[in-house]
Amino acid sequence: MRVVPPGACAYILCAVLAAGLCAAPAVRPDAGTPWAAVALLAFLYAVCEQLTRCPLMGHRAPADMGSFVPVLLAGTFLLSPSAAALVAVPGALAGRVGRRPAWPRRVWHAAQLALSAFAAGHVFRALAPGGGGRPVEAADFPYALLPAVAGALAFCCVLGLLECGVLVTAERMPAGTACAGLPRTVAPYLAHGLAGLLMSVLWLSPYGPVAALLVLLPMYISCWMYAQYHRERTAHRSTIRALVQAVDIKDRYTRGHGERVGRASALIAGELGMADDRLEAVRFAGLLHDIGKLGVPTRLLRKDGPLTPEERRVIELHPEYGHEIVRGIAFLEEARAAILHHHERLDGSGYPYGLSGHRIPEFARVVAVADAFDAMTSNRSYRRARPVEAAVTELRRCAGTQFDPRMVRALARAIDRHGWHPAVTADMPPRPPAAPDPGREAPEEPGREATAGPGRDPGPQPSSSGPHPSSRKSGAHPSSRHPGPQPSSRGSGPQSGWKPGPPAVPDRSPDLSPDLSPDFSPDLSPDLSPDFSPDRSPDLSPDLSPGLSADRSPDRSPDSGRPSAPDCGPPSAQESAPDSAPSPAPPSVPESVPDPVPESVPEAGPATPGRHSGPEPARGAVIPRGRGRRPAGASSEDGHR
Amino acid sequence: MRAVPRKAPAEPSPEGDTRPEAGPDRRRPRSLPRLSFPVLLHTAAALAAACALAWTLRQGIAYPGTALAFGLLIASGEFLRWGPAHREAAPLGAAGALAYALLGEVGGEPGGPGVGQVVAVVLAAGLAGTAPHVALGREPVPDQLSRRVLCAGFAATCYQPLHSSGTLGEWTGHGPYHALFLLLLLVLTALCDALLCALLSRSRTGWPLGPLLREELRALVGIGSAMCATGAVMALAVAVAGLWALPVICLPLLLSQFACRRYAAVRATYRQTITSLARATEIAGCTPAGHARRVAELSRATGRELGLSEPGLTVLEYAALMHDIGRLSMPDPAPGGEAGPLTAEQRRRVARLGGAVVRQTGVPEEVAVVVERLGDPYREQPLPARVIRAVDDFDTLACGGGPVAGPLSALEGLRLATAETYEPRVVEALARALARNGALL
Repeated sequence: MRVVPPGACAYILCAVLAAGLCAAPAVRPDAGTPWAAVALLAFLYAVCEQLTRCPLMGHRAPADMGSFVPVLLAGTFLLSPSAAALVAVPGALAGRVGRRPAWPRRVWHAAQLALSAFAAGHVFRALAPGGGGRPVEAADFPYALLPAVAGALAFCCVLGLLECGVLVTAERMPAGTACAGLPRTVAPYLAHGLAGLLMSVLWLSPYGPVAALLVLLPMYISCWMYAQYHRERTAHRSTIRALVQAVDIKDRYTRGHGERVGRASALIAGELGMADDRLEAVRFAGLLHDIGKLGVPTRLLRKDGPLTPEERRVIELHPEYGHEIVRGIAFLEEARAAILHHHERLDGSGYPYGLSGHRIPEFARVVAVADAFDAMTSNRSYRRARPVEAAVTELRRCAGTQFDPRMVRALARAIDRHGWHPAVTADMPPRPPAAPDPGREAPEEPGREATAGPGRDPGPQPSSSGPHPSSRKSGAHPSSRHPGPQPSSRGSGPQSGWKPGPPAVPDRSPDLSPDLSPDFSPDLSPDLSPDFSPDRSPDLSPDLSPGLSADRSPDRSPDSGRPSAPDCGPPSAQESAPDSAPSPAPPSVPESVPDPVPESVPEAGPATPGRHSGPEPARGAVIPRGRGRRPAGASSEDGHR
Repeated sequence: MRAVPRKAPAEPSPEGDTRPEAGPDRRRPRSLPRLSFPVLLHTAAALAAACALAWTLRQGIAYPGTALAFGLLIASGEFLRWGPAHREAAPLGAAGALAYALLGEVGGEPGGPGVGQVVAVVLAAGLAGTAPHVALGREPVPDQLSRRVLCAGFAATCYQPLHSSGTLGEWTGHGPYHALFLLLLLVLTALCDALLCALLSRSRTGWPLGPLLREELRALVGIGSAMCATGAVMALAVAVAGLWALPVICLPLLLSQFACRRYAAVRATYRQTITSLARATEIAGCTPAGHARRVAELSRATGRELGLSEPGLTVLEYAALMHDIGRLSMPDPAPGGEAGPLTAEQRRRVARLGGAVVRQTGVPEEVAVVVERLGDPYREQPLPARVIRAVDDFDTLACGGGPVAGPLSALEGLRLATAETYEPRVVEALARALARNGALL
């Protein structure tokens, strides 16, 4: 935010005034402030702040190391409270600020630290052995720990409360949320307090400030290690996401599915009151549940027509492949069972092992519900997303036979409480920024752009944020690139095509559906299948009309069968391109692929699912006929049932 | 802080006593008794310890309270060690031992132990701290104990006589110079320790000494410097404030150790995840089973032969693990899992695709660059890419069951192509790495 709200301005101003009042006694001429010590400490603190900028043996020290508190606390133990308040000021004013506006943040930071140091100094003085009049000596050592710890606590509390205040005024955060993290910060401050005490003792000893400086080194190293640890953990998360994206490469119909299932699984787990580490594990389980699709030939995942029983069997191997892939990752111990069993059904008719009831691992039951829920509520190429309420109703109906009713109830409660915002994956850091995209989009050529139906993209994922870089090149369907209208229409229930159909014949269903949309829970297919048809037919119909994309946005068209317009439009363009040549450069599609990187495009671009052009002319040739490939398969399967 | 190390060292001690023959020892005639460096080290430590014990038993223990406090500290530091695999697994124990060696006063009163007593206390406390681990069935770590005893002995020999004779007081006075002198001594000790460490691992693994030593020195900057600083501060703070300072000064170091441990844990997990990502290509049928892992291991060995540093080796390893990731986006792999030798065109495409995927994984940027450049001619590649290229093709030739099978003929094939495809230096390093592993025999 570039502009500081007036409330925050007033708040910061008050803090600065208060800090000035606190520090004022120290600058009076008769105060006897030891200016050398103040300057030295202030210099030390400023150096510590700046240290975060310099590289340390190849590892760049991360930015988020936080303020270096032991120096400040040593200052509060050594100096009078007013003088201690001055120590932090130069360092804070010179410090690095991550976000704009920089100067208000710096000033605020200085005032905040000064006030905290002032408070800590007073607490320390009140409890100190000699009434604060003399320095701490060896003789009062055990007792001297008490005022030091109390001072550190006071510092921590004042700092945290001031921080809450600025969050509330400037960021408009609710006070409860702002203060929620406060108790967790206490422990490090205790360590800082003890280090500060030791520092002040050594400072006053014959060995002088040099010895005191040595105390800082272990503290600095430990802060540095923690920062490294956090950085590495972030990197690890993005690697896990890269695993998930590897699946997206192969099965572009389900982009973002993994992340949403992870989110829904975590919601369920939170509602069930699981501990934090298990919640994390279940999130990973949801995230990675379809990882085994990497082992399924791409040809099958994208197959146009109905699958043969063998092919189906191959696809049903994906839980076992997934189990195999994550076998080497120790921390996914419990999540592995969920990956293996997420297609089991409560009544024992699932796969791979046909487990039933509570023999299915708990995580697997969670992930199964989350998987089905996301499959229903996200757009697919052959149908529009269902509204959340309808999906929950559907899940409720299937609870007991397919799903664990406990999980279904938990999901329903969690959605009531938190809502379902699939476009926001708040718990995940945003995808690696646009950095990868330009490089990978670059080699795309217009022809392939035109064929690659962007709308195959199931839409409301965070991945396709904003206009796709390549859309400017294609110019074919600029509007359809935007996932914009989709999320908004998600909950509004325009799914006129959907009606709670009668449960279809459930006999063979579990085997059939996964091949249609392997992520799509097989359990639902019997119930959902009748609903697909109305969506599907219109899905196909507009394929022939070239100019769809222009006015796609009001896709709540009178045509009840058109709710899924944003999805179907681009594919329609894709498929009709060679036929009716509506797009700029369709003819060059399959052959003219001079760039050797045509394939990079699909996995790179979040919205470039069409990958038929490059190396496979055969596939390209199929395109015209293959309109509604999935749907065709789905319809035939469903119809036969 | 945890009372018990969470990670039981389940894995066998790395490069343990099973493989020392692989090194230079093999060249020695078998009839002679092996006088390898570890044996020398342990003998020296045992001799020093025996002398120290005898001396201490004869003289009696000076300042038993201080000795007990430091002994407890060292023992608990050893007890809190985490896994024998790590370079400095018990920084608290090490810092305590060094501080005891450099102790001259306690709370302003004289309290310096003699050299013999320092060694004896360090030895006894180290044994006491290791005993619970051995009782729990974990590997004892004689190397670290020997190193600790020798280092403490060294530091004490440098400091205690000077201090007790009063010479040090004349040199440095009692002020800041004294602190600086302590620091200097500690740095010296740490350097000696790093040298010991490097020599030890050279005799265990047979790797060249230079990179190993550089690795040890690099490790000194991290937890090693925290350890030295804590040692100095501990000695000074006890001298000023008495034994009460001990627990206070332990806290930052314990925090460092804890952070270090978590860092190592997340790194391990990270590596596992990357390995899984690499295995995904195998499960997808793009590459033969175990290919990525073999290439990564061999690349690392080759990189070590070439003298790469540890971060460089990590980059090399990650890139090697993920070098085939790009194949995942090929439409359909050839059945049977063997994609076979690729054309230059395909290679470049796989490389560029792979680089794009790798960029998303959050590994260092260098890894992605290496993967991207895999398809280029070697003169345009960075060194890790040349290594991976050679090792990749070696593995394909050697295990692929093609016309040339077996490591020797595969290596020959690489040598023949050094004109433009592979760098001769890399191929020779690969040959050396293979010979070291005994793969060519």
